[in-house]
Amino acid sequence: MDAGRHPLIEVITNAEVVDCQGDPGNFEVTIHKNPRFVHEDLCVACGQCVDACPQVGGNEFDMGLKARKAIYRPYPQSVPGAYVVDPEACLNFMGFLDDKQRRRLEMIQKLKLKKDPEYTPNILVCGHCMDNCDVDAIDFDMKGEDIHKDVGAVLVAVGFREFDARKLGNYGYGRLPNVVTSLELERMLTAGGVTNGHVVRPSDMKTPKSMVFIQCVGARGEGGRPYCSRFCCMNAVKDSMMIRQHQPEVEDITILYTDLRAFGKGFDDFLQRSYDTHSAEYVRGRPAKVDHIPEDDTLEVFVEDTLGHEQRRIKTDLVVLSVAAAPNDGAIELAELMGIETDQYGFIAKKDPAISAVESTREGIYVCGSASGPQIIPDCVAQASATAVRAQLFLTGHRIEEEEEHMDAEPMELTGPPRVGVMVCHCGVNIGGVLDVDQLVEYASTIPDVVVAQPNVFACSSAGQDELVEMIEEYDLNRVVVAACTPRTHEPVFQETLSRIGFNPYLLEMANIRDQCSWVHSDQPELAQEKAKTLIRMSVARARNLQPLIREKVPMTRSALVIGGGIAGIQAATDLAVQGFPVTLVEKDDHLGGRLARPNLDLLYPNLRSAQEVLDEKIEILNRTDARVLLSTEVESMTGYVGSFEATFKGQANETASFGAVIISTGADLFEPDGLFCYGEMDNVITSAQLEEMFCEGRDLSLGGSAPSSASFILCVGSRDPEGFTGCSRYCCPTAIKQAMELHRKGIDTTVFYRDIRTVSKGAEEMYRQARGEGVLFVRIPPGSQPEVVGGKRAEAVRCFDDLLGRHLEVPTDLVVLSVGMRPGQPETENFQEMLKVPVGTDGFLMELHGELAPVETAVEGVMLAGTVQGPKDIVDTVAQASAAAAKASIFLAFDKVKIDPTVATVDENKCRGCGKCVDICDFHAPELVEIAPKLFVARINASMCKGCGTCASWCPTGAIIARHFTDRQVHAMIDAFFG
Amino acid sequence: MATKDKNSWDPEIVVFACNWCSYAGADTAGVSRIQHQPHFRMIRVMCSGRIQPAFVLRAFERGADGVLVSGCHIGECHYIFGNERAIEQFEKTMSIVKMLGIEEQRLRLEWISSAEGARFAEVINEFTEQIRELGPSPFGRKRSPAKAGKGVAG
Amino acid sequence: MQQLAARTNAWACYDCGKCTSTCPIVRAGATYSPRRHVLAANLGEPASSIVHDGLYVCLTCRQCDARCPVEVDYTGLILGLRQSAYDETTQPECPHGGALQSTMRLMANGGTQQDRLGWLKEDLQTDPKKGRVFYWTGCTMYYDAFFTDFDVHTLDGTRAAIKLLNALGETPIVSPEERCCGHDLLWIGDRKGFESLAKHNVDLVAKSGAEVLVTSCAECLRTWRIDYQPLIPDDFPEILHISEFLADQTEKLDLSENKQTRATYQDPCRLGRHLGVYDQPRELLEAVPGVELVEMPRSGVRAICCAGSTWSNCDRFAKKIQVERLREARDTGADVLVTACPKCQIHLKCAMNDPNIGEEISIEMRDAAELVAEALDKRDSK
Repeated sequence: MDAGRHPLIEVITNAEVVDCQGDPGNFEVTIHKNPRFVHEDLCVACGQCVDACPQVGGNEFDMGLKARKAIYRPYPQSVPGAYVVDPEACLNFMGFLDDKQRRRLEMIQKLKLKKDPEYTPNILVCGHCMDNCDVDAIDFDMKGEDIHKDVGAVLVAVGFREFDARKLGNYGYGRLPNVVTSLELERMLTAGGVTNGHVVRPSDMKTPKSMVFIQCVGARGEGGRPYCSRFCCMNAVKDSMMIRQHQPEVEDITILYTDLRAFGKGFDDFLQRSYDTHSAEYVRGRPAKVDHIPEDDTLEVFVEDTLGHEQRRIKTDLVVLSVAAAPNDGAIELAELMGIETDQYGFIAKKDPAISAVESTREGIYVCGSASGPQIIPDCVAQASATAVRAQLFLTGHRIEEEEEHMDAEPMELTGPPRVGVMVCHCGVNIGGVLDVDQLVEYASTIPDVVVAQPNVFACSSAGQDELVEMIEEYDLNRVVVAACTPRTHEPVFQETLSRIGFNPYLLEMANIRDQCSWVHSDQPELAQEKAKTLIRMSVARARNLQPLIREKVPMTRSALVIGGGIAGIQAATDLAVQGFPVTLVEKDDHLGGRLARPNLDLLYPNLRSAQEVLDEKIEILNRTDARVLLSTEVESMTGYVGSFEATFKGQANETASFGAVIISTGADLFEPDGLFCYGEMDNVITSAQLEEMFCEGRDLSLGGSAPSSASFILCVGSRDPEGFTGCSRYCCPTAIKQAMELHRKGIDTTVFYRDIRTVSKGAEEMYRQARGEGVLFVRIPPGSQPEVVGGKRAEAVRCFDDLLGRHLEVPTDLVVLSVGMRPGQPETENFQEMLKVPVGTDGFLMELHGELAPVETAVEGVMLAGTVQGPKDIVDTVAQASAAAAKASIFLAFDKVKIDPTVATVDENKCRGCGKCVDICDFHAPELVEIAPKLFVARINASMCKGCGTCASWCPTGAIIARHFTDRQVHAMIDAFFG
Repeated sequence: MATKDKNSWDPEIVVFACNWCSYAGADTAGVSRIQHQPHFRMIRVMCSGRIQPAFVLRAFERGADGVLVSGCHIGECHYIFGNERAIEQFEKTMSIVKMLGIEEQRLRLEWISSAEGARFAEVINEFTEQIRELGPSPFGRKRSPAKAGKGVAG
Repeated sequence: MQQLAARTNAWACYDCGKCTSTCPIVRAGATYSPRRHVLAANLGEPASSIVHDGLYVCLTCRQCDARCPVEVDYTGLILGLRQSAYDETTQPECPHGGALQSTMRLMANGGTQQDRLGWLKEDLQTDPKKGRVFYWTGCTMYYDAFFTDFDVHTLDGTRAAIKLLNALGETPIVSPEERCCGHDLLWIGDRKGFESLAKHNVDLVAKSGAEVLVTSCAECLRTWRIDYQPLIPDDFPEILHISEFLADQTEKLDLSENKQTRATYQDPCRLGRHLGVYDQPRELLEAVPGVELVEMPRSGVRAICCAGSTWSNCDRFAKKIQVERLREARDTGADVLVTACPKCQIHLKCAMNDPNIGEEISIEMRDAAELVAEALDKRDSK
């Protein structure tokens, strides 16, 4: 929606790239736009054409579960909102006519000719949609066209398609109606979806009593695809919880899995909730087949419960195949014409799988999201922002330095008693077809303080806007009510018009008589009419109490502070500096690199590149920029808010400086396993970090004994710990496998004790498979138990119950490696929580603004997170996040002022008792208590930090806090007017 | 309590809605043309945390037969925890409402997301039906037109 | 307006400004002048013209009335002005968004069976309809339900009063039909809401056949004794504050020493300056063995009010008055600050709920009846 409205974004849909020439910075791209047969600029998305269309086609969005017409809108929130004709389904493309149709066609053509003498008749079979379109938006003469664009960079975000489960014939998909894919289930579960959020069996549309999810369909070796699809585990867990909550009639849900890969932030806690609420039974095992039992129309799934050691035949009503992500159709062709490479599966390849977050194999072309392989949403969002900042490199000279200041007219004098004007929109027949607009106009003019009321055919059209302006000027209005559609989409449109003539845009009120009235009560037009009257009356009451508000601007210090010089900080600082923004990078050590620097890390998975080499490359790029790097320096204190943060440094640099935006990339700590698994007691029990250091420095591994001939890894040490950090540390599985292979290749017999192998990153699953193939032994630690290190002065063996074999194993070992998880970096995390009020999540890590949609922003505007300071992640994801943080920071830095939304809370200091309730309840730390005289405290609200939710106003006992634009008085006036 | 036939009168219901979820959910119901009962009027606020006891009590005072408070699902608040504050406010309001002898079924809290147009319609239909069953509010205008509240303040 | 000026002796004002210099709100730093309102009234200006000149700021505490050299009834004038402004459809923006006023108006409307007696415990003997004493609870159950975010327990005083009545052998009427007395609606000028409550309540008590009406709320008492007067029929029960009812019967209560307590007493403005009841609460407290009563520097007719009686306004200046009052109470060395009005307790406790100076001004607060009732407990356990 936002993208669709953004003035700098042109959305070309129904189109494909057919050619790409030129060089980075100067690509010439040819786009073929297929005809949609509906003019986007004319269509008002009223939907009358759909009602008129006689032809039914299949609905792709609802996975064929629901039909749609031949002219349609793919889904209700689609952008652009215009409808589209499906040539495959439309009669006009079907090439035959009967007499009736021909007569009809001739009539339409006559009409067309009347309107436009130039009109060349077309062979049209059906014209119902055109007849019913009030704005003449439908045009069957529309041709496909090639559009040429000169662009600096190209971002590839072509996504994925689901694996075609038909290829795994034993599961019966396509043959058995009650075997559905996870995407089909998702469409059913969507509240506005095909079955209104209810799960049904497609065969009889009845609620299933039991369901079975089969995981890894088309992944991890199934269907010839070795990679892990990343999102399917959590999706199945989530679906099971949603279904059990909404439809308790679904009694049993069984999830058949191989490993439960709850690797993302908070995922393990979510999984735990599923265990606690028994939303599903988890059975480890992959089924061989799904059979149909015709007697009672049920399904039977054959599976070995690999932990319970039994063959099970699970009888069920519905089977859901958790289908993996596969490369999208045409991805390979696209890659070819773009001159970029794909990987062995057909996903867009990245330049270097160990470090590249978004780089394709060709400069100037970037890839984000699942186009390069399966991703979870927060990673997609971070990568998307990262591509944006990379693209910026090639757009020099195009950056929007200053916002286009449309020359707002002198503010109009709008004082005095309310003079309200009401405009009632017909919206074609959308409103006018249900409501009696003239009567509404007549009614509106009788409401107190209304000096004029007028109808309009399309208030949002340019003609409508002109009439609004005329009405204001003619009647000397100081309040405007537009009774039309929803303010959520159209308030900005009208506000802009008002601003243009100097009419304060906050003196506008909209009555939503379309979306929430004529559209939803068309079956009861009389009651809809009554409702519309009340809505207008309520809107007038609110309008009378509206206050003009001014959008203030506060200065933006156009420089950024990046705190922490690990790979995240280096990347973020580089990305900002190459755009020309002044950046200061502060690092407490005397060198950059953090965990990547020697001797912390030797080789990177999956391609075993030297970490130091990668790091050196990154540092060199940084050094070529103007970024200021302060080594051996820490941030001692920090105050302020977006636009003007004040930081005081201590260490090598001792100074105070101000910054407009801040990126925190101070990383995480590694868990110290003191006292666990005899660490600290036996010389040959070490952590994965120590092993890496030994690799790095080429030290021998004897650790005071003889050279080891066997080694054991114990995973999840300090992760997924019910007593401590309950989450997954994400990096340890692939790291342990990498290290295990390295030992194994040295001739050391290596065993890995794991809980679930979570090799989700690019190439990691393949590495896992290879490790197993080469002979690394994997033993699963049963849930709730721990392996035990056996020995005297030195570890001699690791003892563990193996629930696959059903007995204890004692694996002799000369070396025990504890794969330690991550912990929030201290004291940094606490310091930033204290100094900048960045919230900390339940896991102890700094918290992002939104787990999925805003993974790098925080509740504190202008403060971004990069890397493991936000939660455990591996290097590629860290780099992506760092670039995303830089992208978000550059949005602030691009302007020399930050606009402050005036619809925030303010305090009447004379009314404030200084009780501090507002301070307690605000999660954005906007209010604070200020001592204005000795022992006299009043609250002040920082408008830059206030998000305008108004919660503090409802908690303020005295009414000192005013939630602007949603004041008590305005709300009360609406309530009173309802019943007035 | 309702002596009259429940369909012989139309209830008047105030719906307080968060801009980001339930108000948008009502719009989504509109886009999808999901028909529902028309006896409610929406009052939009930016966050359910804004909906204070005074709003609800005033609605009853002026004659509402039912009041629906709606916000984002827990964990999905546009402002992090606004909806959790809304619960606190709602519970306080509910205790006063019950003490006043207003049937507790006349006041309801619902979480509706912006995508849940169908659910919005369902909630409205169900709540409207519930209010019909209860009959007019003792403070409602339908009880006795003479007792209608006084005009708008300010 | 002229009638009002005459009735409240406003014409006698000779512009000396003593009221302004006495006014606690002015002393707390507000720009405000009672005298200006007197002048406006004398000039016959409409009440609505002073809405924005602090019509709802006055605490109606009667400090100025007590000091006025020519006995202008400024508080009465304010009441009249607010009523006449209200008629001009102006309403104050009350604290808590007007939630409390809505609650009162809902009660005024009636038509429901309130569920207001959930707090009655089994050990309290009451009767919903018949009895010699009609115990008027006031709205403490609503207050405790509304003020959940700080430590308000006004119902404790209500329960203590009933316990004391029981100890005297009375089984008082506690009626589920009781409604708000209308005090706060009256004082924001809502005459209509007030009158419908008054009629209901007077009728309820008159029909009960009780001989005496006892209440623990100073505001209810003022309302019953003064504002309900025009409605009250002959042979209506006597109207007493719990302290008045108990003061001369303390011997019958057989009180014994509970613990040594230093108490100081906050005169509620309604009980003191409005009704002249200063001594009985003190006598009652002094009758409790082990209670030592110490006075704050400003007490009796000079006592500072809790700064929130009419619930029409609350602000920084009210807070300052409360903070000063609490400091005075603390300076007496008292363990407990005793009041005889639930509103005093609510407003002073609200002031204590302060992140910066809360520690410095906090003091335990009880209703006078609670201290007395505790002295009963001790005897029982012996």
